[in-house]
Formats: sequence, structure tokens, C-alpha cells
Amino acid sequence: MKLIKLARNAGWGIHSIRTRLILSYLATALLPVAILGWLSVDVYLGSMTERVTDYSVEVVNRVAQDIDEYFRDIDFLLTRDPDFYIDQFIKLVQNNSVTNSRKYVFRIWEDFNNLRRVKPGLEDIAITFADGRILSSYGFYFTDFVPHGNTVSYSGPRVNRFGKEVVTMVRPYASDGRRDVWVSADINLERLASMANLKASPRGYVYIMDQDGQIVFSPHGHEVEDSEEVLINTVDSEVTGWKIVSVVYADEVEAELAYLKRLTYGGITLVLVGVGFLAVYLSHAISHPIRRLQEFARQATLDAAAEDLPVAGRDEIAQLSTDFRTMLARIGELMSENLKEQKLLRKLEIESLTNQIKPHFIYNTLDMIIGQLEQEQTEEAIYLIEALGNFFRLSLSQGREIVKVASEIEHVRNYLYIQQLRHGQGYQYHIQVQEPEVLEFLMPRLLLQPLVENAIFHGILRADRPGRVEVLVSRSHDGIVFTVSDNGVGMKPEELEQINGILAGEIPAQEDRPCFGLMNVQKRAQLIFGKEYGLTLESEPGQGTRTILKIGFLDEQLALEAEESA
Amino acid sequence: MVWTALAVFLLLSGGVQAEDQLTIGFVPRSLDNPIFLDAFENAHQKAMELGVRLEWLAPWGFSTEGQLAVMESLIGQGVDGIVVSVNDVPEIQGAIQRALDNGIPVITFDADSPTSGRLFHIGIDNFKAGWEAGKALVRIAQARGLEGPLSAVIMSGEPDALNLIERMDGFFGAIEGELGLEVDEILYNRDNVDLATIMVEDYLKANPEVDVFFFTGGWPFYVPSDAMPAFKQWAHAGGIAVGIDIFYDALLLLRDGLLQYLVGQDMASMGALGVELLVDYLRGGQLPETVFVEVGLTYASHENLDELLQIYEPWLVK
Repeated sequence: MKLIKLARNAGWGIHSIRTRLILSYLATALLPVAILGWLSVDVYLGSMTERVTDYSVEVVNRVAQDIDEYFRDIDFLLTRDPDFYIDQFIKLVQNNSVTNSRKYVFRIWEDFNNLRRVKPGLEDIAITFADGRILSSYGFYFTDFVPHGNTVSYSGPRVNRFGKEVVTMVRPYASDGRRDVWVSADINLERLASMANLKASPRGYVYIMDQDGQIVFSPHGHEVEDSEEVLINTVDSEVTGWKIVSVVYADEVEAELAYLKRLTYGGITLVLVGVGFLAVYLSHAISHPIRRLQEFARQATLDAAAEDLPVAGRDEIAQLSTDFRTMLARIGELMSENLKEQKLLRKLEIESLTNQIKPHFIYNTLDMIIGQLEQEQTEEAIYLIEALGNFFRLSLSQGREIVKVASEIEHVRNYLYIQQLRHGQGYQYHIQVQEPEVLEFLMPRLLLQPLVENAIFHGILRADRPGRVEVLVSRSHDGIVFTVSDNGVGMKPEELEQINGILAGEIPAQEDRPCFGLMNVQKRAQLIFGKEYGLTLESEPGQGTRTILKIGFLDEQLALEAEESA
Repeated sequence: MVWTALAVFLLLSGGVQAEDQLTIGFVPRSLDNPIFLDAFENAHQKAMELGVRLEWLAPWGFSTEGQLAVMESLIGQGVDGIVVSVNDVPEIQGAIQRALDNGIPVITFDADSPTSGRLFHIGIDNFKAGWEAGKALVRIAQARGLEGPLSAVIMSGEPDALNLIERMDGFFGAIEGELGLEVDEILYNRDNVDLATIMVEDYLKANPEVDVFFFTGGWPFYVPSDAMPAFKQWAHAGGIAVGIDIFYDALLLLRDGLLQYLVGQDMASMGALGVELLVDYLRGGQLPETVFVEVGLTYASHENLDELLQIYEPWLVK
């Protein structure tokens, strides 16, 4: 287990790219080679078996042909025309006399021995009488081997008088067979062996069997090995009637295949070893940068030290490493920016909240409540307290950063109500929501209140006519548009240009500038929704000012993420 | 008498083989030497008379190995006795001893092996035969007025054949002190009659100046004179040829002037005696009085040629 763990840590785990690459390479190489090898062996086995069988048939045919030709020659020697000397000798012997037989017997011996000399394998040739007397190339003597019958016959193997293993071809001396004399030829078994010394395979052999199934000749003595699986082919000798049997051991055919098998296995092994080394090299070349990249990514989760990522080569992995390093750098920058933005957003929210709960606003409102109570305007006081309470409740919004538009509208409505009471009904306000469904949309809190506050304090309170503040909520194709209009003093063009320049970031903002509240809203809006959102001011001197806030849509998930990040 | 004749007939015809019928192995030196044919016929005739089976066996051409194979086959067959013409060599002596060890008595004929343990030997007095041939050469040379020294060549069969050695000893003994003779070469024909003829012709073609040819046996005498032109030319030019063995063809060569004198051995008696004496021993344990049973010699010259040609019959084997 420890070893497996070490291997896995070294990139040799079964699921590692390296292991998979190696296995893939090996499988890709092994499969065709193995199939090719198997097909080769299979095809070659069939071909070889067929070839051996054909050759084996050819061998037995050849042996049978040789034997037939040889025994035809022998038969030609035995089938002689009536021989004067033999005839005379037979007459003498059958008349129990050898007197004056010398010229016959000598000629016959000479003839027989000449035949022995010119015909290889002819061990003896003889004339045998029914009483066992025999005149052969060795003399005139007695034998126990007395033929019978009137047809050509073959017998043996047997050991002749002089210790030689022979087979004997016998035929009646006279064609009518009336004399009870046979002429015979002993064929040395070695001659049969030489004729049968053809074999279809190195261990294979040919043996000869007579018509009774007795072994005439076998290179393994008279015992035929049958303990092993063999391929047998048989043909009959036309002359002798013997069966010529070729034996080929099946394992020899397979043994010949062994070379091909060894070659195939050797080839497969070589290919596998070669592919193995190649696979290890290639997989290393591929997986090593990946592993380094992986290691770096793991480290980067802890410490985004993108500069430490080694980048070597010009391949895809190196490019990926470069991109990854760039990505990590970008992530770092974004994380840093995000962190800054979040801090800024948080700061802006705090500032916004702080701006709303200015002490004099609270004191004035409380004084106003006290005054109403002293004047026993209890109902009005109750409304005011309720409005103040709602104002603060909505300002805090239970700590939530994202609130529904309805809540923000309600918050502004409470603020306008309180301010209207504070400033003696000196202006009117009107809130209009063009599309009611907008009320259910989400938005950052405390965005509208600064706009309304500016309209009151920098617009209508500075004009000497009844003021009016209108809040219009509408929906555009890409967001929600809040328009806060007043009929106050308005702004000079240069002043308007400067403020819009500051809001657009074109002119540096200063802490003590009167547009501090607007900048707060602008930054928060753009931090959350992007630069294309935010504030725009329109104003005509003496006519009033219109502040337009455009924000994007926030769905529940985005709102939750924004709130969590905040 | 009738019953006896009937019994002999049955035995010879092989129709009945008596329980105690003896089998005699008769082994000449070779089958290709017709000199043994007289022995063949007479041995068989004697075997028929005695009611024994005779096995006549030999290699076609003489060889010690072939004769050993024949001896072993006879021993293996368990014959009752063996008559053999041998080379006096250890291999044959060993074969004879093995036969004796197997209870098979062995006698020799023609050529002896005295130390082999054989019971006795039947043959001619080989020394005497050679002696007579030598004396004839001396007479012929002296008649021609030749005093010598004469150059001579000798043809023999096997160097180890004791009978041939004895013939040469007798030949040289007879001429010693009588005729100067220098032997140029001894030609051994290995008991091969065909080779013998060729060797004679070849030698005389190459050495026509040689004066004397002595044949220890009649190997080259089976062919007509016209078949040996060199020999004929040489003899007619004054060459003197004497030898041993008399048969019809040899007498014709004597008649044609190729040979001047022959000493003959009675091979027919050797064959008959070989069977008879061995059967006597086997049946009655009777041995000859001496271990050497001598058969007589005959002599052939121009003086008795016509008479001999009437006695000897042509073999017509060559």
C-alpha cells in the first residue's frame, strides 16, 4: 500500500494522465502487433500443417514408388525365362543326384552372385525345393524357410542364415507352379531402410506394414511409437501390397511455429519496450509541465506567486502555463481591485448612512415632535414619529445592503415627509412610479435619499417660491431610472459642467466640495453596476435641477452575492 | 536290400528326416573356384550314400570374413560336424575353436590349420606336390639346355594358406642345387580366378622376359588359351609354366603349350573322404590312424596328356 501510495504521488496512479498515456500508447501498439502476430501464427500454422501433409503424402508416394520400382526389378530378376542350368539342376536334385551338376551349380552360383553384385540390397537369391534344400548364392544347403503357394508373396522381416535382417520375395519358379520349386530373393532390410529414409519432418519417419498389419520395417525397430499425437499419411505399394506410412509428430509442426512465435513475441516485446520507453518519455514530456502547473496551481491557491511558475518550451502546455500565469496575475489584480472596491463601497455606505443621521436632522426632528406634542398635535406627532422611525428602520434595513425599490421609495417618502414638516410645508413632493413591478426590483439602499436631500437643500430651499420635488421611477431596457426633479434655483452651466465632470471622473473630486453626497451615490452605483450606470445632472439656472440615477437590474442571486461580498 | 534302398531314398528325398540324421557342413574356400566342384559332387554323393544331410556353404569369392560368417552360420544351425578348407589365421582358428566348444567336430581339407584343434586333415602332401612341380621344371629346363639362373614369377592364392606355402616350399626345395632361379615376384590372386587370369596377362605383358611361371594352384587355368594371348605368346616364345591342379581346362592349356607340367590333387577324394571320415567319427567315434589323411597326386605332361583328356571331363564352367 505504501508503495502504491508512493507511486501515486509520483504520478504513477492509475488515474494519472501519465499512466493513462503510457497505457494508451502500449495498448495502441500492442493491439495491432498482437492481432498481426496472432493472425500470422494462425495462418502460418494452417499453411504449415497443409504443407507438411502435402509433403508427407509426397514422401509416402515417393517411398512407395521406390519400393515398387525396386521390387519390379527384383521380380524381373526372378521372372526369368526357363533357365537351362537351373532346369537341369532342378531335375538332378529332384532325382536325388548331384552327379555332373557342377557346370550347372557353378553357373547358377555365378549368376546369383553377379545379380547380388549389380543389385544393391539383394542379400541373396535362391532356388528352394519343397524338401527344404536350397541353392543360393552361398551354396547348396538346407533351410527351414520353405515357401508355399503358387503366387508371388512377400515375407519378413526375418534373420537369414547369415544373421542379416531381410525381407523375402518369393515366386514359383515355373509359371504353372508344378515343380514345387520357388525362386526367392532376400532383400536386406537396410535397403528398405534407405528407401524409407525419407521423412516429412526432422523427427518424423516412414515405416512399412504388410497387409496383415505386421511391421515390415520401422526405423524404431518393430515398435511404432504411438504415444504422441501424430499426423499419419498412408499409401499402398502396388507391387508388394505393403502400406507405406508416414509419421509426423504434431509437436514438430508446432515446434517449427515456435520460431515464428518467438519472433512474434520478441517483436511484440521489442515494440512494447520501445513504445514503453517512448510512452514514458512522451508522457513525461506532457505530464511533467502539467504536473508542475498542477503543483503551481495548488500552491497558487495558497499563495498566488505567479511569477514563480516556470514556463519552458513553446508547446500548448507552455502556452497554457503562460496563460495561467497571466490569469493568476489578473485574478490577483481583480481580487485586489475587488477588495478595494468592497472597502470603498463599504466606506461609501457608511458615509451615506452617517450623512443621513446627521445630529441636527435628528435634533430638529425631535424638536419638531416635541413642539407638536406641546401643541397637543398628538396625531401629527405620532405620524412624524412613525415617519422618523420608518426612516431609520429603512436606513438600517436590518443591515442588508440590497433592498427592494419599494423600500427605498418608502424611505425617501418618509424623508420627504419629515423634511416637509421641518420646513413648514414650504414645498410639495410627488413620487411617481410608472411601472409598479419596478417596486419589487432590488437596488442598493440609500441611493435616492441624497438626491432628494440635494433637491431640497440646494434647490428649492434656496428659491423664494413654493418648491416642488418630484421623484419619478421608471424602467428602461437595461435598468431602473430614478429622476429627482426640483424647481429650485438651478445651477449655472459651468457649475453643472463641473459637477458632471466630477461625477464622470473627469475632474478630481474634493472632500469639501458640495457634491460630496452625489459622489457617494455615483461611486456606489458604478461600483455595483459599472461605469455605464450612475448619475447625470441636468439644470437650468432659476428653473431647477433634474438628477437622473440609472442603475442596473439585480436578481436575487446577484443581490445575495453582492450582499455577501459586502 | 530293398528295404535299405527304400530307406536311403526316403532320407535323400527329404520325405522323412530321421531323428538322428546327421548334418555335415562342408566349407570350401570359395564358390568361385571350380577346383572344389569335384569335392562338391563327391561329397554330396557320399552324403547321400551315408544318409546324412550335407550343407555346402562358402562365400562366392574367398574372404576370411565371408568364411567366418559361414562358419558362424553352421555353428548357429547346430550342424553335427564341419569340413573346412581354411587359411591358417587366428580368426579362422577362433571359429574352429568356437565350433569345437559347441560340440561340433571340425576337420580340414585342402588347406589345413594344424594348431586350430581340428580333428584331422584330409589333403594332398602339398610339399610333395610343390616338389614334383619343381623337379619337372628342372627336367624341362635341362632338356632345353637352360642352366640358369632363370627369372621366375610365382602365383599363389592367399599368403596365409598353409597348403600353398607348403607347395612353394616343396617347389623351391626341388630346384635347390639343381637350377638357378631368381624369383622376381609372387603374385597373390586372393583365390580369385578372374583376377588370376588378369594378373598373369598383365604381368607377362609387362615382363615378357621372365623365364618361369610357377602356379601353386590352378586359378587361371579355367579359360581357353586364346583368352590369354600374352601368356600364350610368352609360352610359345620359350617360357616355362608349371603348376598344381589338374582339370580338363588345365589339360587343354597343357595341350596348347601354355603349360608344361601339372601336378594334380584329388579333390574328389577329399570331398568324399571328408564326409565319410567325419560321419565315421560322429557315428562311431572312429578317427583315422593319423591326423593327416593324404590323398594321392596325379601328374600331367605331354606324355600322358591324351590319356588324361579321356579321363577328365570338361566342366564347362567358364
